[in-house]
Amino acid sequence: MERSTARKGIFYGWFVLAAGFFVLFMATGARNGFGVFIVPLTEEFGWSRGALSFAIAVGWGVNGLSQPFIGRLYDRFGGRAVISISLLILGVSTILLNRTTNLWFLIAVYGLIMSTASSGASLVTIHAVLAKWFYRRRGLVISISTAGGSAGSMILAPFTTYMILWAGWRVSWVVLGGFILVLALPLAFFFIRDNPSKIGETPDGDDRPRDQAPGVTYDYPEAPLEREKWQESFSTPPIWQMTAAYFICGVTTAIISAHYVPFAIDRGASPEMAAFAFGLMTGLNVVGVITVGILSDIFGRKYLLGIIYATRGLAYAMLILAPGMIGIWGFAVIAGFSWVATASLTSTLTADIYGLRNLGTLGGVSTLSHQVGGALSVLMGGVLYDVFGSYDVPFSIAGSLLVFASIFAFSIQEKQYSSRYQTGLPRPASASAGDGD
Amino acid sequence: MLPLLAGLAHHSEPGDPELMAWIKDRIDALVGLEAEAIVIVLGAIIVTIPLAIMALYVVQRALQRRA
Repeated sequence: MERSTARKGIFYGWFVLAAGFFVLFMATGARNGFGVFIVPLTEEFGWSRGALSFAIAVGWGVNGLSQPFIGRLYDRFGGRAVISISLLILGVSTILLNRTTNLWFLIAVYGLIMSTASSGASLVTIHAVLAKWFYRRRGLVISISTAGGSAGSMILAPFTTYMILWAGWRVSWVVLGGFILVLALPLAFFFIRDNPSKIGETPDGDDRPRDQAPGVTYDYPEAPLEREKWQESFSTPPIWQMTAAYFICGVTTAIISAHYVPFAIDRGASPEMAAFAFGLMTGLNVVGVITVGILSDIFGRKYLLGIIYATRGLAYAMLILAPGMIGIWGFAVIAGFSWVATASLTSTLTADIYGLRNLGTLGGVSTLSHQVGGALSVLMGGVLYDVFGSYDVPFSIAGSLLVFASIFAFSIQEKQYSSRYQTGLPRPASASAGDGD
Repeated sequence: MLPLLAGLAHHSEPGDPELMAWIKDRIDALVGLEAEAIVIVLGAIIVTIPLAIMALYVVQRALQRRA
């Protein structure tokens, strides 16, 4: 049911998307920008890169482990509350980092507090909110919000680099935290609403049926596998297929994040060229994720998800088999398009199949599997490099796993389980999850 | 150092020190501005995003009321 032309103005869901985009822009950008502080911190305190890496590793683990719990909080209290409180804690903890004088303080504030808070202002919560606002354009909208994180990293990292040069690293933490508190927090609190029907809107801004019965809201079709309790979802195949594929996604992205630059240098690239190739890859993911979002609303999700995993597998084959720089650049371009597209497709497919009631928790569990896969792959890359003296073996293992990820995605019974292929029916308003407004 | 930490020591997230040094060199070569000028430009871009969203919403509300 399209929005009537008689209703003027911009659909409120677009403002929710804009707020979600900026929340991810700031939250992801500020947290990913930690690498920029490594040099000034090592210079001032004499800490080793390894010691600082420990703080990053703790943050990585805590962020992954906290995702299902924060997701559960989202399902109970709604996105507005969880995202706003998370941004408040994230902003304050970012500012607190300017008081860093010892490593344990850094580990506690960055590794524990900031990383937990960033789980609440993450893809999981923002995607879950947007899934309530959009049904027909869900793929595109979730993809645009995902691109916000990438855009934030690309702009905030150089911004912070120059800010450190100009005013020092302590001031830079204050500015970043201030941006979160002054810009992102009010935007999230003001614009993010959990339930379209509570402010007289409908998903996609469609008109309400004229014969709508009292107490019934035209929300979205019931998802075929929507369950009362989130645990019950794990007795069905699609969540396992998506989570297993997402685990492999974590394996294949984290090992590259950790080892791509040294691999490229081993192949004869200069450090600057290797870094640029990786930068190109992260830049291309903005284009890739939005393109995939548009296509997924037209052609469905699972085929695209399967194609993306297969494409990434081809990129791995190119990286290992193609000689010299061809493999390095070929991988950067091909894999770049697939880098974060899997995140938006997995969220979208989860919402389509399992509905919105437990979407935060299910998204959190998927993300946890992604992070665990990532941690294991980084470990595997380091160990196997030491054993074999090259990255060929660990990269081959990671690349081979993508065959399975692709099969998992292709084998999802989307037409049977996705609400996109069911008849849309009104449902009781009380069935909407996480009405935190 | 544990292999995990060895891996993370040369992690290549967007904030990777080598990548940022390379980007900084390129920006310096391209625009030749002082650090504070680049901070102001990039800072203005960051601040503009939420302000533009707010402004659009306020304008829309005003137009709706008028209609």
